[in-house]
Amino acid sequence: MRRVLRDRLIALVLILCSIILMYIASGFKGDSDVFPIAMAVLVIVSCVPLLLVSNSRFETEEEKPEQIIWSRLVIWLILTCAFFFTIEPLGLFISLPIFILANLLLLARLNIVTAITITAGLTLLVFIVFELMLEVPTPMGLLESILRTS
Amino acid sequence: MDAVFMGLLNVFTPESLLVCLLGTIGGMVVGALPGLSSTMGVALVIPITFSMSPESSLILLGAVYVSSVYGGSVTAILLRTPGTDASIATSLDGYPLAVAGRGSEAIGMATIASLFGGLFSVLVLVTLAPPLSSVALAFGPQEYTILIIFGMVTIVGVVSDSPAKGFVAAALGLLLSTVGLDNFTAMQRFTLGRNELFDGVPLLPALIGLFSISQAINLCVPKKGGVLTDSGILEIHGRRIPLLPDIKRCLKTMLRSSVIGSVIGILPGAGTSIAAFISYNEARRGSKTPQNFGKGELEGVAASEAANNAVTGGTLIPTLTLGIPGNAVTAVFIGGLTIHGMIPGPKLFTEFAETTYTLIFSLFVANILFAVIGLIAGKYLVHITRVPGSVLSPIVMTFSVIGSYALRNNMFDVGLAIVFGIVGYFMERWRYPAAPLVIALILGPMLEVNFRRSMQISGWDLSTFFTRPLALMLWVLVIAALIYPLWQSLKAKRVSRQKAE
Repeated sequence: MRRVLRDRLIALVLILCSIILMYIASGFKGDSDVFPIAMAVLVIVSCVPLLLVSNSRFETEEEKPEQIIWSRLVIWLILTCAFFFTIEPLGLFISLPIFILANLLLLARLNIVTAITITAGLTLLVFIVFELMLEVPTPMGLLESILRTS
Repeated sequence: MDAVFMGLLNVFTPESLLVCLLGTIGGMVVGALPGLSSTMGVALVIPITFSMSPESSLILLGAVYVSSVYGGSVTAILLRTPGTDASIATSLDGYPLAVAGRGSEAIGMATIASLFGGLFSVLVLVTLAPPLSSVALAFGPQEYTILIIFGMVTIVGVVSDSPAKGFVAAALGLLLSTVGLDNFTAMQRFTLGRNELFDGVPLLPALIGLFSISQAINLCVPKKGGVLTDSGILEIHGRRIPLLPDIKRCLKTMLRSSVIGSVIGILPGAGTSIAAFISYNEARRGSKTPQNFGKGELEGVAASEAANNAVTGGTLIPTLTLGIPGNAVTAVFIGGLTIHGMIPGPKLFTEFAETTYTLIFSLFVANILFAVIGLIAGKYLVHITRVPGSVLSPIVMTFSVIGSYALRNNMFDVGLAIVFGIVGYFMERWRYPAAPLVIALILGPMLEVNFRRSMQISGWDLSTFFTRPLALMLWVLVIAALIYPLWQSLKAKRVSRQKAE
């Protein structure tokens, strides 16, 4: 998508969202609405120069960022969503190694032995550092009864 | 005085020294890895600090911050791939030196200059912060309102190559900061009925998302599987410590660069890379052999490294004394402070003086530690860049998820961090800076509270912002901060138009 069009689209979406938020904020009681409305107006105002700058023929050319490999991004998203939704029911120390292993196999393309070794090492490290040493609370899920009692 | 002494004692306990050492090593590794920033390093260690004492937490955060800025220099010199943007200027002379077989010497000079700049900036911090915090006590809500506006304007103008996009990001951050219960009326605003949002958009998940998860995506999505550097690592030869005459020759440059770095650090928005480039140019201008710059001049390395490390102490001055974060790293720092119940501002030098001085003195120690480690083993840091980004990515994600979850023990924050991560990834690609958004998220509630207090005191009379002498002085700063980037932008456009013609 061309940069000018993309910036304009972003500006339009933000303006639309700000108008909706202004409408919602107008229902706030007392002077609770003043700041949200003012900030929504500020977003709208900030988008106006964005539209103008996008149009400027004097704007310096940006360095073209590396192209997104959408398939890799989609894989990352699927893995992350799966990780997110399984943390609580399964527990961090079950879903985390699955997430790491899947990442190493699908995105890093490591061989299975290296991937399993890294996964086991990292999971163990996280367990020792966060669970045993620092006692940082983590979702235990299925392991709740085993780990918390031991 | 007791607090100063106690702070000094706190730093030299075995636990503190160990935490400082681990933080220094961790920071150097993060700094050396291209794609991992200082901000991300500090954000990632926040979950580790949850169960620590406030003193140890701040020591860890401070050590990671200062050493990560230094860590970037090693890869800048040996690979021409700066680990952080702070070291871009270092590569201009560092890499030619490495090609000429003087890589070890260049790293040695970078280490000495970083130590010099780092120690200088901590001295500036310890000298300026306490009196400035006393001045801040005299600030009323009107002055605070204007000060926050000044901070926002400066950041928007400086952090982005397109101020328009910086403005959008900041405005969006301010709008997001209105989410939560209203401080004055307890009215729910944009909370979607979720009690996780009653206190506003949680800062830590936002920080972790924008600065860590976005980088995790960045590390694994590129086609090559995110190999951080596929360029050959140069053979490292030469002496570890530069010759004394060379160090003496660079002393003036180091001092000048340290002053520039510290001053730039104090200004909100202007970061390590700007300080490094300005100092590099000043060093070239003042050099007897300017023609050698860019071809392998130790003075160039010294200028850049002294300046970028001098920024670290400077940035902490407005953060600790006024509660105004000068850049993204110090915004994360504020997140770390608030977790331990410390609200940045003048109270840090009264109520929490002991802890604050512990942080300041620990920065001295961290600077010395990274210098010792850097001189002995700095050149080996370069080998960690062989780790592919797509291997680092799940590691970063692991820390990010634990960090987002652990503060309030809920998955909502993890989800929020992931959303912010995706937003941050596209913001970076499309050149919308994340720093103004985060800083606005921190400053927004302060702005609203102080603005509304001012209005209540004055009976909604806006002239209250223009009648106090201190407020008027701050307005002058705001106007200067508004005009300067516009003038710079116009100048740059004029130059590029002339070039095009």
